[in-house]
Amino acid sequence: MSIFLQPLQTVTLSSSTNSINFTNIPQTFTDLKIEISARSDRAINSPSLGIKFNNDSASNYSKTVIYGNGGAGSYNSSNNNEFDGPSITGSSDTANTFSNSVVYIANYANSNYKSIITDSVIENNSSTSGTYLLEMMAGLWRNTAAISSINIFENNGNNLISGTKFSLYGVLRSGI
Amino acid sequence: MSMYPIASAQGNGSGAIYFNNIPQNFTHLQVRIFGRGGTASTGSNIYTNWGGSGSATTFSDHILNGNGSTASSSANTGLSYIFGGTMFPAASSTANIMGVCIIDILDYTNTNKYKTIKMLGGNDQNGSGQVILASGLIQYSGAITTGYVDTEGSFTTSTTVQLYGITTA
Repeated sequence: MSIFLQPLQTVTLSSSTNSINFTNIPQTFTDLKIEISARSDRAINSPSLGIKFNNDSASNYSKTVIYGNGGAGSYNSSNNNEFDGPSITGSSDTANTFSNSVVYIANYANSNYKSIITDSVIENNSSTSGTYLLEMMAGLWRNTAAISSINIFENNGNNLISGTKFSLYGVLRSGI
Repeated sequence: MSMYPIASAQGNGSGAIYFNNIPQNFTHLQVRIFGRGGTASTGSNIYTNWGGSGSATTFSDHILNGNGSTASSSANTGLSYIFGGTMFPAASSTANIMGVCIIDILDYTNTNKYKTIKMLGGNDQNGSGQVILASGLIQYSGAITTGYVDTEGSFTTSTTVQLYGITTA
């Protein structure tokens, strides 16, 4: 099996903004992968991104999460109006620090519901519980449409700061 | 293809594996380790450090660990390296078992960001094991030009380490 990773679109913020969009996503790949280096201006540790596919705001999103923040645990949430996506760095975290996150969307052009996995690490120069976060999540978008656009936004209405970067890739599997 | 091999190394049992003069023409870096430690134990930790001229001297790290029965998390600050937990089997483990660790370093040439690295890895030893998601903070805003990975007793000669550069659109 060979795997081909094709850079599709990159958004690097030169000023603060709440959201970014990937549009006109080609339908010729098997999976999508988004590398995220992000920081919010929200004054907490580890705020989160929201993600919508094809601008769908219906209650079609759900997720299951495992996390570590000094303790460790797992939870899920369902029937959400957006994918409450990976956590990112907030303005209460160490200055100049950005999250390191991946969103992987399998079979995005397939007619099944869409399964998503993410992992994210939020660094902070602290060992105090609750001031850092490591998390992995599985997500579901209950929609059979092919994904042609992705809207990513700061989930509390705050802004993503300058330097935040989103790199979208198409993943093509062949020879399976 | 957007993922390019930069360098490859093999464990030698006698020291850390270094990468120097890392090219600056990619956006992200990824390190893939297929490894085993030489220490007389059934587990061996990963230690890593990335930087450049005038780089940071202290680091923090955070670890989410599952060992087959419990999940836990832990943190370190003020270390002279980034600690990622027990990613690898070692000399007391059953022969031929290796561990895996993938390290992602995003935006490694950005001179306005400290660098957050992510480590995903673990090993299974047929009845015991570890799965780990870990992070490390390098409080250095210069471009990353050098780095190393190491483990207790050094990596065995069966260990392989690859460094890749990843481009963006």
